[in-house]
Amino acid sequence: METSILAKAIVCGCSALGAGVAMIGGLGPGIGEGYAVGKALESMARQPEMKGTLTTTMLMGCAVAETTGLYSLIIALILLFVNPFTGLF
Amino acid sequence: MNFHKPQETVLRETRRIAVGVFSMLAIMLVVYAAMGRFSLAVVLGGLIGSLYAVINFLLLGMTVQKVAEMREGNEELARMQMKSSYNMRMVIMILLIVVAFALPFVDGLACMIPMLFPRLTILVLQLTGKIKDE
Repeated sequence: METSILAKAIVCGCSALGAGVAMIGGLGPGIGEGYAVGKALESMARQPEMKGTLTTTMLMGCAVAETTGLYSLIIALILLFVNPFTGLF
Repeated sequence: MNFHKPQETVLRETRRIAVGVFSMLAIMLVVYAAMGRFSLAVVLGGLIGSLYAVINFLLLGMTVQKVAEMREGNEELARMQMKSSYNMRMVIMILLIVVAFALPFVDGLACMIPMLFPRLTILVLQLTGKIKDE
């Protein structure tokens, strides 16, 4: 009985740590998006006639890049709220 | 954050994403029903998640539009704007999901899944050739 409680406590603690570590993945897209937008702005200054195409491509690219941050957020929240590991003990 | 009126390009892409997101929501609800887990909480969670996914895309589009209107030499400012917009949208998303998990009449998982639908919609659009590599 006591071992089971201890095991659950360890799992919960490790899950909270895991959620924190998973959120490190949320940093990348912000940096990546910023870099992509900076480069796109340079390209627009060089070729203003391509502005429409570049805006669409940049929008889609940013949406795709943002998904990686979302994956880490979802994993963190799953570990916190719907933890599948607590049911093992 | 002050935004300009969204451009036709942004609105068109958002419309396409919205159609995709709500179509995938319908598929998700069918899957939930097939698994025997369909309830009002799931529908509510799914609707909230889908709505925010579309709003998030629109906000992203409006930030991209604002950044695209900047002059040459403002790359650093553009980067900062993009990062702050991303952080703001991420915080709103976290709050929304935490509230969805806390409320008893909203299914948190069903609220979280539609946040990934815009990416899937883009993938489908790419596979069907509706987004061309120019």
